[in-house]
Amino acid sequence: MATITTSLQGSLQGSSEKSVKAVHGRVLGVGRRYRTVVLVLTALFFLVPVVASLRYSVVGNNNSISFSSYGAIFSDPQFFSSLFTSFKIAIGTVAITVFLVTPTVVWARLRRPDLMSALESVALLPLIVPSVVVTLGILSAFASLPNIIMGSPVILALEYVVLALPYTFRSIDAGAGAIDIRTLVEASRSLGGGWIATLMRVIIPNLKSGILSAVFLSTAFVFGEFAVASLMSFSTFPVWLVQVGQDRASESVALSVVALLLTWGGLVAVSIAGLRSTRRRSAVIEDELFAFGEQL
Amino acid sequence: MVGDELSQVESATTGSNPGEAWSRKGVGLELKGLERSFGATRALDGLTLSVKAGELVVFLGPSGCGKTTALRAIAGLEPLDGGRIEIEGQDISGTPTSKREMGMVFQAYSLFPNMTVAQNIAYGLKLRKFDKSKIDGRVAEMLKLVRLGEQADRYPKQLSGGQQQRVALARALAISPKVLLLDEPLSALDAKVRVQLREEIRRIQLEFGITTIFVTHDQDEALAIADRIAVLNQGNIEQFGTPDEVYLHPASPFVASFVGHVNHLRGRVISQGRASVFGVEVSSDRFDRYSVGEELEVLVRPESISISRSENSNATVSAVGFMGSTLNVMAATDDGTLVRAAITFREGEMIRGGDRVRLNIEGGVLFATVAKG
Repeated sequence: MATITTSLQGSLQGSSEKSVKAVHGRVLGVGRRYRTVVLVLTALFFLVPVVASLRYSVVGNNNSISFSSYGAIFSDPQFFSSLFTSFKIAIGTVAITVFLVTPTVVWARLRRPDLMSALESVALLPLIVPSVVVTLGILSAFASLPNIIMGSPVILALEYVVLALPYTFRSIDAGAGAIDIRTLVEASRSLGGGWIATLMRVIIPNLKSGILSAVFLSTAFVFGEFAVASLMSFSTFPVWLVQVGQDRASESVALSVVALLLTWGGLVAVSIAGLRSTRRRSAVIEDELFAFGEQL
Repeated sequence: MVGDELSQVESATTGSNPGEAWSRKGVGLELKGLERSFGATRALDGLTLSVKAGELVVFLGPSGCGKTTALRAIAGLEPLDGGRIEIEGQDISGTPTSKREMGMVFQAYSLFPNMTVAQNIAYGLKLRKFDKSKIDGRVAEMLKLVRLGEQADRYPKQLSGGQQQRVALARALAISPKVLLLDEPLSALDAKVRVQLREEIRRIQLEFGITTIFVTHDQDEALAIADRIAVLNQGNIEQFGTPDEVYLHPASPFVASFVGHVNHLRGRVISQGRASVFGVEVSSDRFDRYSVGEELEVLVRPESISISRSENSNATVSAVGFMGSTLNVMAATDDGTLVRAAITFREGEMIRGGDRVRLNIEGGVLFATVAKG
């Protein structure tokens, strides 16, 4: 009996040592070779169109390399005006979203957790209701607003706040779900923090990743939305991009490359800013905000 | 007794006493007829209690007894339907949480994840707009107090659960609060850390002389740490007394069962002040008010049961737990009752499962009530 046990233990130990070694190369039973293949395929899937577009956009007459299509884009006044329009809409959308959704989520999680599932389904509605219906709905709902809103891209920002809600609400809510808001609020209050100090110094810094991803998502949404903007005949960046694509093929590809780089650069800039502010600036900014809050 | 402990701790700590610099001597706390309902449930049902300055009072009770609600009401985190909370004779019932000057430690995960240990401790001081040098000095003192000086620049998630709770304690004490409120601060920790930290909390509490309310459902914790224990049940106080009073002279069968172990035995009155319990005759004034022949439920502590090896045995040992200086014995009496006994262990007198023994009730009866069913 004893010998059986020892030999069993021996073989068990041996096999577990082997399997530990094997585990380093095999995650979830997937071999290194297989992982490499998957990675390469995925990289190809994303890179091939980009490289192809890049190549296509720099081919001039007689297969020579030429940047003429890029020159054509940058010399087109529509490029900057449409980009600027979209940029303004993006800022408006982001601002309204963050200042509307963050306090709502915090308040609901803190005071009315029973409302959370209802809020969540309301936030998902724009995915279910066709965007044209939402557009028309918002137009008729805001019909009485002055022309400065109805006739300007401001109305588009309002539209996009609603249309991007499924993504922005979820990312802020996920951030809020990752921390124990109630306890953090109570701890801050018991240490002498008023509501503004608690929000600025404790809640928002800890929701930063959720808020940042909401910012990314709504920005990306604004720079990619064509249907509603075109329907309301605003010349946003995507609308102009489609127009260019219809009659100037190589320029439209060059434009896509520029748009890609702009978005990518923007994301990098925002995430660097986000990271840095966590480390250095947050203390200063929070102190300023706090002083401001106290004055209120 | 408390004074003796205090002077011992003070003589044990060398150098400057961190509490000395700014501690207010503890203040008295009065709870008068606190009422709070959640729908049909009365979480606080006229709770009234007077806590002396510098005293550590434990709120002990099962879940749902209102102990946490009472603590949160003192902190201002839970509104009251009725009653008053007074500190130094002043009603603070209407004061918002942020102005109450209460230091609070929560069950777990209450540190601000975006701040380092030092920043967490400094939070309350920054809100009070202290000078930077004053804040730094106090943070350093607090870190020394909870022995976490090395961890000052760590973030909460880099700390163990016990370390996090020590930071939470330092953060609560940094603002030199009038009252320290601890809401089951040890319940999320390992058994060993739990005992270490409760001793540390007691040491610091005595050092500061700060009036403290400690909520727990763990009777060992309550008995070990409290000056006085308030046993809560259904929104009110069943008993308020020192640990030994509560343990030795429980005010009700509920307290007897909740604090310490107790045997619920069947008995029958055989004459004035005498009853037969599993065939053993017991005298107690607890039987006085019952008439002969009445069936009773008799509450007896395990240490009130004696075990001997004699000819006329009446029970068989079913299990023995060896606890070092004591033995926890489970025995089945011949009439089928399971009895728990705790006896002092002497070498060479080991009792083992299957042994035939004689059980007697010698330490007295806590309660006798009319048996149900």
